[in-house]
Amino acid sequence: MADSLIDLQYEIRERYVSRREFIRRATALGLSLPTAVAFLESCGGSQPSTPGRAIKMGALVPLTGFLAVLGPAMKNNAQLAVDDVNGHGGVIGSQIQLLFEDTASDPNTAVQKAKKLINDDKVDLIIGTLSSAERWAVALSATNPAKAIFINPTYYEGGICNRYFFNVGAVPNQQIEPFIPWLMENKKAKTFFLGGSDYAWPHGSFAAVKSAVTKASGQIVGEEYSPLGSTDFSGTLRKMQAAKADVVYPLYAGGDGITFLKQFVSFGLHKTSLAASTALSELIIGALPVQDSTGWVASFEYFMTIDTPENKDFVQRYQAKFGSDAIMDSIGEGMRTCVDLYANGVQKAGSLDKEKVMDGMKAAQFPDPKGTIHIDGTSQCAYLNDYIAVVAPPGTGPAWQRFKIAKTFTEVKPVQTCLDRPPG
Amino acid sequence: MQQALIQALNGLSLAGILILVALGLWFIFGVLGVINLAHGELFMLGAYSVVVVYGLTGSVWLGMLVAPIVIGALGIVIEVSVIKRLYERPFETLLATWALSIIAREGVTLVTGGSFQGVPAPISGTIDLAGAGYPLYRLVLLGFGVAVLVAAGGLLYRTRFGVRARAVIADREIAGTLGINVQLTDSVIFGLGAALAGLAGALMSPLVTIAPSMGLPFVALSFLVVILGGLKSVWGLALGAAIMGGGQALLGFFTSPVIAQILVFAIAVVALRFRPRGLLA
Amino acid sequence: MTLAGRHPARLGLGLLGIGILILALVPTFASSYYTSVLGEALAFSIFAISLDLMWGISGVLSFGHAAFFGIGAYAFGLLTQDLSGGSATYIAVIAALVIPGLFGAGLGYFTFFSGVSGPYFAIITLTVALILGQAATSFPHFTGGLNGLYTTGLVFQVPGGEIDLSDVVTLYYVALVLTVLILFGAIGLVRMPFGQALVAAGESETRAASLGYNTALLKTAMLAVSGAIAGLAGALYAPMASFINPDVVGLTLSTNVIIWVALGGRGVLVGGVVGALIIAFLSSYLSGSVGHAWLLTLGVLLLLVVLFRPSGLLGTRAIRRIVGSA
Repeated sequence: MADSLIDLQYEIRERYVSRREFIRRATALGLSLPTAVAFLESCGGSQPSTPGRAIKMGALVPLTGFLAVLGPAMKNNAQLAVDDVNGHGGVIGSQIQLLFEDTASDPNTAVQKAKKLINDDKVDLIIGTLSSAERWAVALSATNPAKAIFINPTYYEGGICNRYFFNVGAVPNQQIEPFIPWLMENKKAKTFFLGGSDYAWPHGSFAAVKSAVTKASGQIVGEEYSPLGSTDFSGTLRKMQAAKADVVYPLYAGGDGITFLKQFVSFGLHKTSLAASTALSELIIGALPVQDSTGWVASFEYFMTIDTPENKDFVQRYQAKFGSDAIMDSIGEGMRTCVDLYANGVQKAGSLDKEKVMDGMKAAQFPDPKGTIHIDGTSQCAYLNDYIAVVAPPGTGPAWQRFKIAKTFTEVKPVQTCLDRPPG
Repeated sequence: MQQALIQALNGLSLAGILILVALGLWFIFGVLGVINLAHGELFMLGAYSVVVVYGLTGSVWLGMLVAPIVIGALGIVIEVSVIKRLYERPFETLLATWALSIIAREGVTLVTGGSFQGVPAPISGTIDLAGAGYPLYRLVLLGFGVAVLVAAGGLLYRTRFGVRARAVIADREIAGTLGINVQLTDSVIFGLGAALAGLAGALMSPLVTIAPSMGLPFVALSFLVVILGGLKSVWGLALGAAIMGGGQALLGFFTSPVIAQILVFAIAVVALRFRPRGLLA
Repeated sequence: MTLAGRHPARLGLGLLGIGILILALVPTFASSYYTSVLGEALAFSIFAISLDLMWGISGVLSFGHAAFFGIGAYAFGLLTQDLSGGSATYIAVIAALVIPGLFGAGLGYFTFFSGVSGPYFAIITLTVALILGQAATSFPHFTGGLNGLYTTGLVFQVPGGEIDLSDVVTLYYVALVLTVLILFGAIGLVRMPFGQALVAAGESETRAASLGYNTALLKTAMLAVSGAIAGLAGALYAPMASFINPDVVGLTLSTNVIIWVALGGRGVLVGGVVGALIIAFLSSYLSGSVGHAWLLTLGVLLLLVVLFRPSGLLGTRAIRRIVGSA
């Protein structure tokens, strides 16, 4: 702390800093959290700071390809977060420059673009990637060998352990460990049927679900995987009917999830089983059968309906900037957390030196629309709140507003097993 | 016994869907000899027609009525402008229709932003079969599939147009010398095939997610159904659909959907090798 | 007098030489990103040559050709997983040639010898690609599933040293050398009696058969060769991409290669190279917000080419004569 104050004074002596800017910086350093929040909210104008070297931040988002539907929210959130930081004069006098690259929803392209950002554009860090394939590929083939900082915003099955890799998305235990006991208690659920797309993330999540269910003396009555792009789930649905599970837990990728849930309703299963999932998000709810989805349950580290002043303000500003029908889910919002993690790491380190910034990120603690963020030193993942939302009956507003937060579990510790290759 | 009955029903409902999708392809491929790789996109556009009409009028049924008309017209336009120039050149038609499919997919993505759409089922509710609910709408679909099949058969075997079409199937050149307007017949048949694809897409729209790439899974499957069934007979189509659909359902129930899909494709490939003219040939 | 004058072959060779020279100079002025993109494009151009051998030369369209490319890539990847030195890389490359080649021979035997050809063959190969794509995704303990197999940090032993397969520039030159070798090798193959017989079969199968050629055997042999070359391209691609996933066997790659050959020029072998280089490069350059508009443009371009210039950019009579396919 003292070091930073000395640096600050040195800086002031060396370069002209306006009195207002000085006060702003001094209050920024070493404040406790509530005051930090109050400070951030009160900060208005964009007084340009004395320029330091610009921070180059590479962002990998899917703008084309089958994941493209999630791209805009990721891009917008990164942009808004960077604008916020820059609007406050940047961080330690440096403005952040965002460089977006399209992964084309393809891991090969993601790796190429990551290498481009690192080798040609000389970025200070990379944030982003959506699918696990992209994430592992970028980490193992690009950022780890190049010792480049890589911050991931998306929930995934966990496993990437490398000192240059930071993760602010939920790992399965954070979404699932509080979720299962809550379901069993509040929704009288004892039996579970698991249905998912046949690839790593559903397998990984279901492993966590099975362990949580058995630990709580529940029972798994079925587990079935379907190929990606399936259009007919009647076989699986008949098995679910026969099993008469209390909870049906669907984890199908993207559009398949919508197809499954529509057919789930068409078979009348929604009357006898509850749909609960860690894949039911703002981007899907709009396309689901409106009446019949009432009562379904979801668990994520972020919802647009989180009922705190910070989040409400954030959502308002987001929609003011990107349109009143602009929506995001936890993946999009995670990009903001990536930006803020880095900015706070730099702030704490007082320098742009990579090693110091990494130490700074590990020690950082800062406010975010989804709660207070700080990093767990062992896993380099974030402590995250787990929000359990129940879908309310349709109202007059947009579909995302139907997610009513029923329970918040604060600061769930991330637990993951390290792997040096991605899971099969 | 109960389980078997239920599985048979699942298989039949899958077959019903396949019949609808493949019938249009049968007309285009079987009758005209045109490899239409854009068939999945005609299907997709049929589904999107329902979305548009539903958005404008709130009626899904109306959308299902409008879709085949619109897509049929589109089919005629495609035939006249593109396909006509490429008869007797199978590679070129393959490429040209693939190009059209790319244009359709990317065009729709650009216009809609690639977001997922959905429409509600016009008939909801289930019917109690063997102790569990079965979606009424799927049974309706099955009925539709059979009805459309019968209508197609009737068209081919009971109408003058059908006589002309069958003449063109048998031998284009001779049919021309007999005074049949082959050009016109071609256009009408292509339009008919397209309309059927559009109808299939419209009828399927409540069951699946509506997205620009929704047609892709159906292309390979419909080709296999058509070829397995034999290009010369509409009833062979029904058999092919029953085998593919039934096979998928049964295998999926006893093993897993993933293994089922692989096995069904593999079986189709083997069958194709031993019976390239179709199972009923 | 045509543009080429009296010595079209010399002009063609001259132009080719200039092209190769420019490609050889690329790493000196391009960023590492574009070098890697072009390197991958070169691997794809070898793949395109393999398709053209079947399609443009022998008249057989394979709609799932990525099956061979992918088998080669996965064979290479799997055999270099527990790498202990350069020797494993040798074996992996040989496997990437032999296994797809055998698969091609098997597929050929399965289809050509029972009279399956034309659109039926296309549909069967389409289905095979789909089956392999699904299998690659669903048996992850074998193939790494959607997360893929990693092929980083590889080294290739040659007498006199090592080739570092993780360096972008090295890989680029390896790719360039291989592309040139295979291009000339393929042209040579076409001009040999074996190739000429296939050209005849491609033009008219009945005529060739009536002359006594066993067209089924010829096509099967060519499919094996084509498969092996595609597999080699896959093995080259593996260290470049530094990991392999089911996309390398799937429908998208299969149809992309058809587009490269169709646009670049069919039946001239070098057309596929040009098509792959130009399109792969442009696809990377134009990705991002213009991504969908670019794909749409590609579709329109393909349609126009098919309607008005079906032989593609370089598929002219003159060039076909030089290569020996006309």
